[in-house]
Amino acid sequence: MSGKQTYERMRERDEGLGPWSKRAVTAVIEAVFARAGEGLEVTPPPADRVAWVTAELDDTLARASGRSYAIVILSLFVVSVVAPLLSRRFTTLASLSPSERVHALERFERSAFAPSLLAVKALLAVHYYEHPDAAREVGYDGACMLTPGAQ
Amino acid sequence: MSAGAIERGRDHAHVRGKELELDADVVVVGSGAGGAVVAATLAEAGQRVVVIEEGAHIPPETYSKMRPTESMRHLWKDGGLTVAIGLGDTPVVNVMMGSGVGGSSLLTGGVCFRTPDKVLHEWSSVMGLTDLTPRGMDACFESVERSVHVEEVPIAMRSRSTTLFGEGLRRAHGVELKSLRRNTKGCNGCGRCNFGCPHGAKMSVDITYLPRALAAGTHVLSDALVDRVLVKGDRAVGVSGRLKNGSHGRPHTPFVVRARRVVVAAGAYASPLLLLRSGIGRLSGQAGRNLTLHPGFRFMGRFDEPVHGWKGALQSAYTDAFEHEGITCVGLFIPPGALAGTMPGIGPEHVSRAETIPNLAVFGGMIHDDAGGRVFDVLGRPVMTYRMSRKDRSVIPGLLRRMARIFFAAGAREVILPVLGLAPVTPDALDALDLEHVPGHMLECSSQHLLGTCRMGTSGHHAVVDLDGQSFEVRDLFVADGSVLPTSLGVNPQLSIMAMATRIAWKLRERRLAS
Repeated sequence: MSGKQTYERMRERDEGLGPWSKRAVTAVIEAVFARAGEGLEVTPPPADRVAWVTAELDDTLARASGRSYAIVILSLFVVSVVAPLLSRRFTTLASLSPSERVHALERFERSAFAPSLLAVKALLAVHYYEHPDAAREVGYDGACMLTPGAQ
Repeated sequence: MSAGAIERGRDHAHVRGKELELDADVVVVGSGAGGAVVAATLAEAGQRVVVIEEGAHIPPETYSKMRPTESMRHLWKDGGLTVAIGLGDTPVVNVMMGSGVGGSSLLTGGVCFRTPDKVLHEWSSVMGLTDLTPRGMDACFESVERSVHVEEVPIAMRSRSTTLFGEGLRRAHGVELKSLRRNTKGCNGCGRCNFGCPHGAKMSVDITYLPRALAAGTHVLSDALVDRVLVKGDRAVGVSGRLKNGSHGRPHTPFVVRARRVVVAAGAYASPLLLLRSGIGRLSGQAGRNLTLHPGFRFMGRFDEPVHGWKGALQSAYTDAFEHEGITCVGLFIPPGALAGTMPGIGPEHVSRAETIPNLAVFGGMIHDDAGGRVFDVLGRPVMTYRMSRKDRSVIPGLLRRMARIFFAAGAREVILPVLGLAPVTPDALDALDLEHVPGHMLECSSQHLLGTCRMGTSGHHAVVDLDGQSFEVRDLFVADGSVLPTSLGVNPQLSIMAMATRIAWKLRERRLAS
């Protein structure tokens, strides 16, 4: 498929995330927002919250321009592929266990590739902490943000 | 289209081979801080005005109930994902702009500064724009300040976050914070101005100038992308474009507005692109150049005490104590997700930092920059680049240290600097940091203040528009938005943009329309 065809397909997309990028986004969410578990393991956020964030991000990207969409998807690709490599794992981020992903992304965040992680992480965090349970867990009670119109 | 109404281009039925045609005395491209002012002024003077807006029309009763990310999707250009690509040792800059009827005025913190006298002096004395003196602009500022109800934020509305920074500033430098002025009426300080005021308390142009324009018969067409300025001979005679009524809101049905005068007010990002796509602005080679961003950096101080920085006005105070270094510091607070997203750490480390959000104070530092940016098309797609001058770049390490020390003076345990991947720093760690050698691409930077891409000047050799805002190349084509401001201001530009648009509109009101 030519670059122009790819671009046109992106412009005509019905949703923001395809099957691959949904898997990649889920893998990043489960690592970035994981809490300490037992021993060296980590506990990813509840599955319904991960699904909610993914759906919200999907809607955001569906409304972004083709260029911005491409930047986010490219950043996601770099994070998914390069982060494991920096930890000498020759696989994608989604194939690692949650705790392995955390280590891979920690290393990635200190590398020269950090800006691509910032793009993904910032976008995810804006959506993630809008979930009422996530906001409550970090002690945020700004009613005007969480339930606009309530005040 | 009925008189004095807002019509949504997306609702316009497409009939093959039939384009939408409108006639007007003046067509205004853009409905934000510049376009709304021009439309209201000219409509009230009896001219038939049509306003074309690329974004959607989302009324206050709808956007007031949106969650922040819903607002980003519907009111922010490109979902807030626009970036200026940093050239050389310059950070990538996240650039935020509004998109919708009302433009960026829906999303500002409401901060209203008059153009500093020093800047006006440079424009009038050094650049030869002789009318742009403080005295010459006074009536324009007064008119806008009356229309949008500019008032000082009472000290009682300051958040604890801002108060703490103020205490640090006093201890470290013996300086008091100054109260900001904002365009508000009845603000209760709920702190979500950047996503559309939930109470109708921010006097954005959709509830000030645009209702006036509508009452005077202005037609507003939203969801309509202008592709070209139409030129006949050496005169602008209208605009053409496409309504966004295609699948997924893509541009589809063509439209034409024939007008005796064209005013472009699409902002410093879109205005130069429209001119260049219309073959205008190439004479001087300046259209799209001279972009200033007023780059901003965010600092977070973690305190032992609960701060709950979201309780209070989003922006209430500032300091210009470091203006001689090109730095203005302005208070702000942002949603937890935006704070957490830039915090270093992954997994448990990230979560434990996010749990300190109630204990964070936040303040911003902005650089009064030189013109180092550019907006242009590559293969028909807009690109924005930004190269910081050596002077501006050299200010950053000092800014980072200064802001951290102010927070420490206020009692902060640690400070999160806008450096990617850098753990929060303690006072001892700050002294050991080599901030002078942090690469530009590792800095987290944002901008909301784009200016200068169709700058005003005395000659078509180095500027795009003249002192009245008229193009040097095409008669009856005017630009009236932030793009005409000739240099960076060093302060939030909303009021300056509106005052300049007022001045241009008053000049237009006096000019006879082409027959």
